[in-house]
Amino acid sequence: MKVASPTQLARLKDEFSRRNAGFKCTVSVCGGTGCLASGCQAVRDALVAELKTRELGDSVRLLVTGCHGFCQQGPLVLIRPGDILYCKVEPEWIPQIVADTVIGGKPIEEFLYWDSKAKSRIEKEKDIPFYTVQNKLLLGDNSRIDPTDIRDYIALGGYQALSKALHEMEPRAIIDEIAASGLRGRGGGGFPTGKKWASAVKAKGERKWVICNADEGDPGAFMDESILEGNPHLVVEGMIIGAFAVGAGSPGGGFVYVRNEYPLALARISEAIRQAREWGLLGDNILGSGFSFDIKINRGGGAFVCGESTALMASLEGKPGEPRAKYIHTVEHGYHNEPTVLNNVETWANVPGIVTHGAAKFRELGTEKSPGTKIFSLVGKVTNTGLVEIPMGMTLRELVEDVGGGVPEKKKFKAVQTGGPSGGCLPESLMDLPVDFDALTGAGSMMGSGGIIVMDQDTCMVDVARYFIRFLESESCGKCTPCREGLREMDRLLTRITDGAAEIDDLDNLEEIAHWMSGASLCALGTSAVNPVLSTLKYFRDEYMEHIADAGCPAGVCRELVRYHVIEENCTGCAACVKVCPTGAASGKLKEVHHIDTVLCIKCGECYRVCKFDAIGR
Amino acid sequence: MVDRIEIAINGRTVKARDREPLIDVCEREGLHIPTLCHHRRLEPYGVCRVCMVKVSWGDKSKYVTACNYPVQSGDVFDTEGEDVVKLRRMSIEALLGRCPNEPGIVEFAANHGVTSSRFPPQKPDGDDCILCGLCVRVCDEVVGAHALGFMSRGPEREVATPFMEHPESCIGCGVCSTLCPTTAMKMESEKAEVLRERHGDIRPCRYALMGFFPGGICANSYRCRQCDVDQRFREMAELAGIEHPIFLARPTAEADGGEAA
Repeated sequence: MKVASPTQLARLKDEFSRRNAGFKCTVSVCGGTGCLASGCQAVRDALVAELKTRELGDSVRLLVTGCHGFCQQGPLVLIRPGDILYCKVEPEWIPQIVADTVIGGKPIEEFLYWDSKAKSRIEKEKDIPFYTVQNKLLLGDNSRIDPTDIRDYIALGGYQALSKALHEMEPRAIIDEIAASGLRGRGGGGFPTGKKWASAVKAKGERKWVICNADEGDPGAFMDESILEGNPHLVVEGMIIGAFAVGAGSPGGGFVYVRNEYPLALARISEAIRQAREWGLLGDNILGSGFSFDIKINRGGGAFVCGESTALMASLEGKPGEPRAKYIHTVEHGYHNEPTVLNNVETWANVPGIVTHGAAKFRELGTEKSPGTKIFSLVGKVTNTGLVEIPMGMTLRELVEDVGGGVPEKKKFKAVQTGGPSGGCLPESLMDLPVDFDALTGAGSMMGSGGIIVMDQDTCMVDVARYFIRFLESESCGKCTPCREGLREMDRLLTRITDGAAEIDDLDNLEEIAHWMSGASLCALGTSAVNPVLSTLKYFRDEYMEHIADAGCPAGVCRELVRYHVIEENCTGCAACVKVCPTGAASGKLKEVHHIDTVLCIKCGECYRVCKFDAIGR
Repeated sequence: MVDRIEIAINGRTVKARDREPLIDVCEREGLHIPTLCHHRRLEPYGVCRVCMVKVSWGDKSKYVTACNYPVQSGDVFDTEGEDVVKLRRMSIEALLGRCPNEPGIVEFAANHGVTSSRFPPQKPDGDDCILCGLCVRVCDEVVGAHALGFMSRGPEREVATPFMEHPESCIGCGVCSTLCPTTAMKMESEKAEVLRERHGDIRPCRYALMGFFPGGICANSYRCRQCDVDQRFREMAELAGIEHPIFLARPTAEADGGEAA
């Protein structure tokens, strides 16, 4: 069916929302990557079977949705009405859940979320601390939408913003609204989106293009993936509005550049585009407005650098994915040298909301210079790992402590790394820094696309810096001298430090190379690659010094510098270490002080892990 | 006529065309900017990062490469400040570290005051290619043979032919080795052997392949340097003030009219 007019779209919205409201109960199983990994497929199968046996197929709506965010507690099952959330759901629980909650409407105490701080169970999703501090502008509908069915999106008001943009607004007015909202590029650069669009309008060219950058390559980040998997039409709608605003309709067009390592996101966005086309929301004469536009999908081949706009466009053109100078912006000379607006998935996803509710509403959240919300993937040594959407301006402490639930297992917080591999590591003393584009950059880190990695006392900051430098070294395209040779040399120097073979001059050399790279590299991969090194040198210099001067690794990570030994006064002679030691290095009789033979020791750390009496030192 | 704009270079006001590459403006003004990857007949590439300069607008500034920076009205350039020279020297030091035994690079570095490098070479004996891409680009942009490209990425990057084989499309013009600022591009003599093998008795002259005349047969078994055809075109190129005859055969639009004239 083709939706030919705004009135028809409004009618369909009524029809679909009535249909969805007609169900007695909606069971929403999180089908995000985290929950898939923890076994939600079996939970879904059990639900299907149970609903079939009880013949509830017509009155209960079963949804397998995109990510709900609370990956730590997956598989998640959310039951409406009642907003009852079950965590770490086992397939065996399903018959009881269906009987008591789905039919009976009552929560089952022991399947609910356990708040270890308050020592109590929490029934409703919205009352769980992890969720209460969030503002889910973009991810909120994830648990209400079957991402493979455009009707769910339309039922929740989807494509209404597009209808408004096409029929009630001039392109200029849309850009003014986006500019007034203060929306900044969510891919990490933080460039004002309205300004970018306005430049694209001014740029001369017969064809113009819009591109959605979904080449999310940061290790541990899955913000864009989750939007594409959970609510792909939001991105499609944002792109059509953007294309209309900047004049990228036919003969121009749109691209989604999505990495091939995201098979589910790729399938979902492909299906969404197919459905949008089928419903007349992409293609010729969209909603009877006379505006024609279509989107093509391009799969990325796995190069991190292709997330850089010029490299991405080179890759789209069929050339090697290498960046080029951006002295003339891509809004003027982008894809095939034609005016191109490239925005990140999350940026596009913000567009429909701003068009519908207006710039003022958008500005209610966030800060003056960084309005709105930002999605972060919260990972590392933090209790509640998952995907969170918070208003910008919240402090790092609130993000790690309140949303993340702090560092687990009574370990001590050491640092938080923001902004992906080229971000910086910030210490405890900067935890009250607001999370916004400018504050993080000012502190030597960056917002990046939204990866947040929490580190505890067992993390060695030199090792961390080396890890990220190695990642970037292997992902550098090698085109320009500073990035190629500088990362190689940094890797060598950092390895010297972690091997205990460094000299004090090496730190000066590291800093000098870093300043050269940030000043002289061709693209942002090279200029920002120095952040992990410079930030750790700035905030954790003592740790570097210990590696160099004392040949020791305080966190006990750097193998060359670690010597496992028994702390005699703590040893109770329990022989736990003796049992796990794979080489027989740990020895000793029961109830006598044990000993570790450093010649036999392979530094696997098992003794340290199992000792309950802090009797193993390293 | 073209638009004229005003910019400042090292405190001096200079006229330029809007968006003209800075290096061309400097050249015209008699100010030499060192570079290892730029050639006036090729699209600027901006990878050696030796031609760094500083551009500022009021209290904002950034470092850019002169070879591909398009000047705009009001730009204020500093091409010899201490910070600029430091960045430039560091790029040279890194390349010297990569190629410590390459005479051309050793000499270039010494000319810029860099005699030793903290960067150890990646290959034990040092590399002889600085990855400037002149060979790759001239083969793409001027020759049109596309016989060369880059392989791998990061520190593993290298110049290579498709599938590491002698490329079918190579016409043996040898311009790659002429433009190579180091001794890395040694393919010409090797190439002649291959051409001999491939074409057997009917050997097209490489100047025919470059487009100087139709269908000429090489009577000289590809001993180009002993051939009067080769001498003739080389002399013509020399007279025109260019390095290799291929530029005579395939002048770029700007090359033989534009600014120099």
